[in-house]
Amino acid sequence: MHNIKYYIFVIITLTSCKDKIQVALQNDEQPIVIEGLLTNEPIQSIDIHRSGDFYELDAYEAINDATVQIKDSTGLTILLTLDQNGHYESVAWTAQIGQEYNLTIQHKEETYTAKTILPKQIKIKEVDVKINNDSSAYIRCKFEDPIGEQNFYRLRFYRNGDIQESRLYVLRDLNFEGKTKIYNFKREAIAYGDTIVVELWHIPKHTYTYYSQLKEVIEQGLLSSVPYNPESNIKGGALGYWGAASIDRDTLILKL
Amino acid sequence: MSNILTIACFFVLIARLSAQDFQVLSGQIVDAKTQEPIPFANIWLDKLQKGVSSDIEGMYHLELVKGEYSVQYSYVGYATIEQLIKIDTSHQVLNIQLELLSNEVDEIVVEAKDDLSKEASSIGTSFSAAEIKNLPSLMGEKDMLKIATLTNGISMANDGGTGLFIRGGNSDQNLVLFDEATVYSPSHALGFFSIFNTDIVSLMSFWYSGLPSQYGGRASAILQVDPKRGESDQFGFSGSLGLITAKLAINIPLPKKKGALLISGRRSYLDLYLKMLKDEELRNNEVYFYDLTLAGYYQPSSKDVLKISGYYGRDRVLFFENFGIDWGNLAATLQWNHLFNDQFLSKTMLTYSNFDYKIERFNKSNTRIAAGLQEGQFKQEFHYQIAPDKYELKFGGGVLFRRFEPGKLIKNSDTNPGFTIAAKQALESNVFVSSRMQIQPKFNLRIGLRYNLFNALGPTDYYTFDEYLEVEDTIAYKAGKVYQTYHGLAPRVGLWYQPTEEHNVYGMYSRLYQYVHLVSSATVGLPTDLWLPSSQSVRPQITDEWSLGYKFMSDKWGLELKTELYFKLLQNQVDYKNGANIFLNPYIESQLVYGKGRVYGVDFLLKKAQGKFTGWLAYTLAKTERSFPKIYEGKWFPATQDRTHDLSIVLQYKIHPRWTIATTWTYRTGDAVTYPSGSYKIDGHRVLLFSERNGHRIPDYHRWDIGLTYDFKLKKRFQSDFNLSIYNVYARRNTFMVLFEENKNNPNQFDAVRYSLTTIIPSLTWNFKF
Repeated sequence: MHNIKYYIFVIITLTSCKDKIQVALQNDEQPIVIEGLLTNEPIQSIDIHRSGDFYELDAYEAINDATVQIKDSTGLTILLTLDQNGHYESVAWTAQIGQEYNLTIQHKEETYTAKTILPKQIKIKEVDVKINNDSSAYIRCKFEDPIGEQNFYRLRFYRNGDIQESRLYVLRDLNFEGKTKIYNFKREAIAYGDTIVVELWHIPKHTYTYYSQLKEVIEQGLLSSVPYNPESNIKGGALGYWGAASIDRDTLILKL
Repeated sequence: MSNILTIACFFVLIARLSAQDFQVLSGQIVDAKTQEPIPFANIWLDKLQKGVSSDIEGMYHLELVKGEYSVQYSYVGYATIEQLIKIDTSHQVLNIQLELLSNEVDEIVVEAKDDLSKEASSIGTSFSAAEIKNLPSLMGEKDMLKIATLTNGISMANDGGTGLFIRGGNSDQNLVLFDEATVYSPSHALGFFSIFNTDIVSLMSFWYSGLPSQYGGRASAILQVDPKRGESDQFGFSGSLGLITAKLAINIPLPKKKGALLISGRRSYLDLYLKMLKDEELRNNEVYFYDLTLAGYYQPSSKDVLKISGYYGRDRVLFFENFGIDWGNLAATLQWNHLFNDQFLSKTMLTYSNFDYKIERFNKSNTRIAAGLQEGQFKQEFHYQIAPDKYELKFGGGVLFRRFEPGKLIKNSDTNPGFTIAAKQALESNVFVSSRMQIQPKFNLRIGLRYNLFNALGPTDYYTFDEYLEVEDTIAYKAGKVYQTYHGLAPRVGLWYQPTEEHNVYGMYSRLYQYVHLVSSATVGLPTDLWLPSSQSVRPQITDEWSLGYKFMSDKWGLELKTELYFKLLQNQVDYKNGANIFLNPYIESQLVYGKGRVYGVDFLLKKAQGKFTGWLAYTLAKTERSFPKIYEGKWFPATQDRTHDLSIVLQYKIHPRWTIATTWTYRTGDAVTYPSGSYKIDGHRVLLFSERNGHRIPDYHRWDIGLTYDFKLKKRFQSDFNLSIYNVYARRNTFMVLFEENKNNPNQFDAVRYSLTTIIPSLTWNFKF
């Protein structure tokens, strides 16, 4: 749907003139931002920083003095330790599918908590590439949506190790419930010899909600709804999210 | 129901008691040429220093003791008629035909025909086309809606929007009627022009306080456009050529002067300019709108009038063959008025409305999206002048059926045929009784009661949601099955005290119900609007509105001063939750949040309507707020259309019998908007942080326009004038929106970028008639 907004936006921007203005923006106590994604891969990590001034450059204050714990419902506790610049990592440890994991972060007087469940992995059936007449290409990722449940996904594409993501690719199975889905990822430039990696993330609903709101906020334009902060599942007044993703990966090397 | 009957009987009784020893003088005031009734015309008795106004049908009633009177009939833009009348023992009927003043001797004044003029006969504001003839235009389009916004209480969206905000109401809370049929999207070209071609408008009326009981269904105001219905004496043509549109109208008289038909068309030709461009890509873009209107009347007998009217208009935009959008309205009315006798009038109306849009060539693909809404209505009203001028009773009722098509996606592919969101149907019925009476020589009372009944009807798929707004259940209702009912009683009361001819003090209360809700994703008046009926979760909007006013009118100085204090409480207002996805979403109701609103303000108007130099100054000080439990914990925040200050100055001077200069200046507080209070980084993206809703303002809006009109000498039947307008004389760059964009040189930095749509725009228009 963003395409419609995009075109209308183009119409408006083409017919209008624009200039830079100074807007006085208040600058209150800035909240903390927590970014954490539990995956089916061996190392878990959490990033914490303080949000900054609107006009500020990319220099957010890293939070290095927090205590970060992940606890499952059996009582197992994993302590994450500071790696660098607000980045905390666990030791090698694998999260269990279907298990609930609670995140607890203690920083100064504040405690932040959140929970998530690791969904099962959905396997990629096939990745192929279709070259269009205009030399652009579709990278196609095929997978089966499980029957009888709501499922949420995020897809990521890498070309020669670089993430190819001008926006977030998130989707729900509203129109393909229980069916085979082929996700077409269009690239303008692709070359023989390229290594293409596709990741299929199976995510819980709250992570989907966060990503889709984040996607809208990033793509924004005032043509979308009133601006807002993506809805966080973290209790205690922090921005960001504690999400989960079971990732499946497939690699394709383009050959002649 | 029995309450209504009791009240009605009570009114009749009062009237019977008060109507004694007087004889009645009544009649209808019509335009001599068109035979169109003239509402709000003045009837003045010099001897008694007393006057009345004609009602919306041009009817007037006076009660007089025996004797001889000189009666003056007048209306702005028409020659005054003075008639000597002898009142003896019987009821006298005197129908008056007023002649339009020709341009040669013209003293047409720009005047907002106002609220409660001398009597309590009319409420609101109205404009006739003649009144705005000399005002400046935008690209040659004299837009009555835009001119209306220069008066009190009526405000407008920014440049590039025709959203009308009447006394803090949202644009969807206005009932827009073409004749008697609803118009759902009253704007062309992304809001630059209203769909009402001024050439075919006879009268445009606004009601925003003390609403008449025969109207309802919207929570803020009523805007009614009365079309011109042609002249019964001869064939004629009129039209205009402007920089962006051309208009042509044909007047067809019916045989034996029993009626007439006016057919009119208008088309914009911006796309023809595009065709002249060299750039192939730009040349193939399509941007145009057109509309056709038809309005006529037929009088088979002196007691019957049949009226028809129809509007059809469409807009089309095709952009780089990538994206096309096509939208439009249809509104048609068929009306039969029958006069049983001088006191009893029946009005029977059938209306049909349609609004739809289509989006094509979506990303050059065959995907199409379509959505729309249809409405059919039957209305019956009776007007009973029980004791003319002292006591009038109106009653009636209506049934309205709406069908909502929220959207379908059509794909021309075998693997994905697209999908359709289930249509919804709803029935709205009402009965009303309303009465206007003189309770004391100096007191007038208007009291009315309207009962509304709303039924949501199958067939549809109805979704229920759990506390997380997830679909819990889907219920398929069969055709005709009523699955949701709401009803409500809407009282309307007004009391006027007029100690002398010059002073008038009044107070009013109304309650309004609204059962349709507009869900629009954008800040722009886009045609992708989605209308929804009330349902289990979307409760009817309710407005309670109070106002208190004082008006001073001096005929001696030709001055009018008016001030009104108002307060409104709104219930069940609809907004979106954060991150709402409303486009083609079958579970739309899960995306909404509900809250309340309040509006309070004060209006001032100073007006000079006579002489070579005329004009007005209108000022409103107001506050419009909303509160939603799910938006920042229910904290009151200003609505987008909250305008603290709204000031307009309109001046017109007749330099010479043929030359008129007019100027308007308008100023208002900028819209309330949500700006970021900081930023942070997530998922590798820099994201803006928000800490309150609508806590900032875009820069204030102001604009100065000038218009110069030259009226050519009348040659036989050929009449024409030339208008030069300059829109936005000092090229104020009024803000359309502010976006926060990444700095191109430094992607880590955001800039606040202001977009403005219009700068200085001069235009020339030639209007003709023969």
